[in-house]
Amino acid sequence: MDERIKRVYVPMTETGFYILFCLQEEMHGYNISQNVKKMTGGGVTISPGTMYGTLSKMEKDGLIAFVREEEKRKLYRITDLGQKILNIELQRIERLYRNSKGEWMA
Amino acid sequence: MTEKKIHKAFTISDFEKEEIFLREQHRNGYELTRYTGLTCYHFKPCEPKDVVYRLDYCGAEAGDKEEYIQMFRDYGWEYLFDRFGWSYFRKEVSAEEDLEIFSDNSSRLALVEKVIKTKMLPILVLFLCCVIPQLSNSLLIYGTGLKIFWLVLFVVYLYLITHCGLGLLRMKKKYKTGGS
Repeated sequence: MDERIKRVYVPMTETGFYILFCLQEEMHGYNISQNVKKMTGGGVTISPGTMYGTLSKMEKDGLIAFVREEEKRKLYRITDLGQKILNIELQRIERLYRNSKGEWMA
Repeated sequence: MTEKKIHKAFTISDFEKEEIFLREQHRNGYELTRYTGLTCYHFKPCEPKDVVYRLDYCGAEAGDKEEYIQMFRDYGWEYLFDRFGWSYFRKEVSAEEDLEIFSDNSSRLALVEKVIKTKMLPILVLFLCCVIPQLSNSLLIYGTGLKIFWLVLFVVYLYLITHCGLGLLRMKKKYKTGGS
């Protein structure tokens, strides 16, 4: 895997993580934002400028791909590269969580 | 009541002050309609309301303007117009609404960096490669009129560069260290 991509995206920001996580299903920006709001009980907000900028950047870096357009809204989906990055991130978060609970791995 | 015009100059590092100025106008019953010339804001009378104004700079990717605006509309932002690369948005204040267009400091930092790269640097280059050489030339050879012209331009540029440079660097520092 591209080392630059890994360096930029691991560890990921909360915004980046939720966007990538949501895009395991096809979605547009505002959709993602609403989903994240529900998932976090309103704890995580992603504003439009940040959403637009992050989607553009992730698309350029090949983590997500544009699928189709619906009434001026662009729908995206995670790519294989994006899924790999997300999996690395998920493993890291799981380890973090286990360690925070005192469940050290032998 | 008729349209009101206000002449006010905000430099490239004062966009957050500009947002506050526009919000105050709306609270006093004047909503922004147009922006013409270098400094002229046009307002029309409206019901006084608390409405926030937000400016984004070169936010949209090339050829993606409509999708960009649609994204802001989805979030409840009204798009007004573009001016010198800045996009103007507004939204009425309410408890449930998100009143920011950026939710993290890295996107605020990205905006400041874009302004530095596409506005501040050209000004600096113009200053170093045109204003300074022309000023030194004019002091040696040109007549009084031109001397004064280049001297005034030199002072204006020097002020702009110091004011904007410091302002932008201050913002950069604020968003880098995680201030709000």
